[in-house]
Amino acid sequence: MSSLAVIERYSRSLFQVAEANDTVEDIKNELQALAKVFTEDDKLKTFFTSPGIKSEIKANLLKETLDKGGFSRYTINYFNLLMENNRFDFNVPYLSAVTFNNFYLKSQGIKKGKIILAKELNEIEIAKLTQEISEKLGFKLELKYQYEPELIDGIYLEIEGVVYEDNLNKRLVKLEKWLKG
Amino acid sequence: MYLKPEEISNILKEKIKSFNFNMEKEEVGTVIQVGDGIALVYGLENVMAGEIVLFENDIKGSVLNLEEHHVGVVILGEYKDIKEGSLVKRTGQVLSVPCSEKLLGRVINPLGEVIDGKEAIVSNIYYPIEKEAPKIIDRDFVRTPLETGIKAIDALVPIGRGQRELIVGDRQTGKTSIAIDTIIHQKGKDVICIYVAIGQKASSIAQITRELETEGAMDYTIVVAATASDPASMLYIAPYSGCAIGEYFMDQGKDVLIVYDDLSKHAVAYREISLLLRRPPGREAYPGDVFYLHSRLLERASKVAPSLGGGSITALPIVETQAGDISSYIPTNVISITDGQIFLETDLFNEGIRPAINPGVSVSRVGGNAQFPALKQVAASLRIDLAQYRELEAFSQFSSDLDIETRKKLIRGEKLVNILIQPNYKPVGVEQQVISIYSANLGIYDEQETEEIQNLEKEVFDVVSSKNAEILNKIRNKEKLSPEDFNSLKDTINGYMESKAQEE
Repeated sequence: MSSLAVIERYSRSLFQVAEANDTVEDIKNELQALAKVFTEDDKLKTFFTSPGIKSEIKANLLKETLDKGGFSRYTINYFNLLMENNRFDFNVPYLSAVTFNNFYLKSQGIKKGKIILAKELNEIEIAKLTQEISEKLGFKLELKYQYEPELIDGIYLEIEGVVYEDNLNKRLVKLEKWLKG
Repeated sequence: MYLKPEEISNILKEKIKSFNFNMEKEEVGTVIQVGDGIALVYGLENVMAGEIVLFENDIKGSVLNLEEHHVGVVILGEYKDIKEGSLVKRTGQVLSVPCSEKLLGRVINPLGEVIDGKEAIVSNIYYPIEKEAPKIIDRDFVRTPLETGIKAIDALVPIGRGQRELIVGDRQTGKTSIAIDTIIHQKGKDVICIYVAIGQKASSIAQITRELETEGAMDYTIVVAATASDPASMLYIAPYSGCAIGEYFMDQGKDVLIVYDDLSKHAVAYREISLLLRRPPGREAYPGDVFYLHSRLLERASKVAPSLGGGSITALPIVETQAGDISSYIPTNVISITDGQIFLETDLFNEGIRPAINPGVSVSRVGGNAQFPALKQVAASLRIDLAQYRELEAFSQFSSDLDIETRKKLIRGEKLVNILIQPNYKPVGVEQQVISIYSANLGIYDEQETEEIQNLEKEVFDVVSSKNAEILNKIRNKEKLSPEDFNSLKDTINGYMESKAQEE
């Protein structure tokens, strides 16, 4: 929790710099790419979490990677600063990407959410559904789709802590409660 | 109830038909940490402080802390089923208790659910447990006496309807007994009694309830029980829900007596919650708002103006001290909030003086205005006499060397103390109190053996009731007694004593 709170402060600053320099999209993509590498590569995790490897070596490796990978100046500076302040660990790239994305969505007026359906949908259908829900609710949406046959029929939609729900499973639970008195 | 399969099928069909197809909208959060009756919840951005939230399995929680990244919730019930990641729903409501006349005679928990094994109470009226105390302009003076039936209290520290009188003392000094006696004495006096047990043993609560039932006091009494095995959150809300029920009756213009037994355990429960919520600890590790915790509760006890129904809530909070130290944190706090205190002492209790009230430290700041006028007349000198007796008591062992005046004072004091001794669950009416104290002032007990005093007291009262019934009526009707009345009483009492002496 405390680590997330710290990273949130750093990434807020990075976002403000990116906004001022009109590089929000670029930095967002860079952070996401880095986060993907860090979450998917197990060897990298072993390297960065190993207590046997000195932190300078870890720092140098990250620095080199960023320099050679053609990352923007602000992203490189951001990670350098984190390393200088001893705030870098294996989770930081992922947390940075998530928090930066949250700031981005907020600035664009986009709300994040989750939709669960008892029907399997393809990407086009999901996009269409998102579009329709977004129009109905009056704000832009970024929805994560999940297939859940247990719902039987209906919908479960959660947008930033607000749940819109009507599905057969819930009705059956209600009915069961009513029958039990 | 027996239903045929066709009937069940019809009910189901009807029920399914009547399901509305509107999508439900709920605000939810996620549990990120749970333990010791406290849950930290992520999300619930719009939740209000004090709002009720629902965990899975319909367990209620009350929001106490609103922080930057999460909210702190106290779980009102069993928390073992709540896990990390469980959903928490907003209800948009503050914690309330169901209020109804049907609560009388019942034992309920702080959420208003019955726990005495009898049928559930259904009520449409809910009172919020946290409510603002009546405003200054809505209040009236405390002027009607609330008889406790205990001579030492009614004579020395009288309590008025709408007053807050603290009962303070060490463990095993008879604090609860005073409260129970007072409840028993309210029979037929049109007072609703609420006994709030906070953190007591379930066996003690059962015993008290049984005692109240035996004395016929449960007809007008409600017991709100949060036992020692309940989570701290239940102990924390118990006095507030008791008070909310009291307010329901007060709003109907009724007089309510509420006993909080005891507020030291309440403060300890609140300390537990506060420390778990990581609020900064202060003196004795209590949080900074422990004064407000009790002041906001006791301020709700009041006498309201006739325009608002003229009801009242009289509060008898109980606080336990350690080794007679009334200057520790919680006792001093509550003493400063209340309108007086009844201080009970272990030494007096062990000497057999029960109720073990120390008349020197016990005071009633407003009760004097509400005392029965006749009792005020006869008890005026009582406090001074007792104080003088206490001063001279140290010399009592050298009685042979003392002058007659001092010896007389010592004897009178001793008899007065004996007059004020009263067994448990035997409250007496104001008429009997006036006659007992008046006859003690006349000195009729000075020559009597201690064991005989109680019998003689009763005999004197019986004689006065048969010969001076109109004076007893005057006492009951809150009239002042004239010098003639006193003379007539004196004649009756002395006449009886003379005839008794002749018989012997």
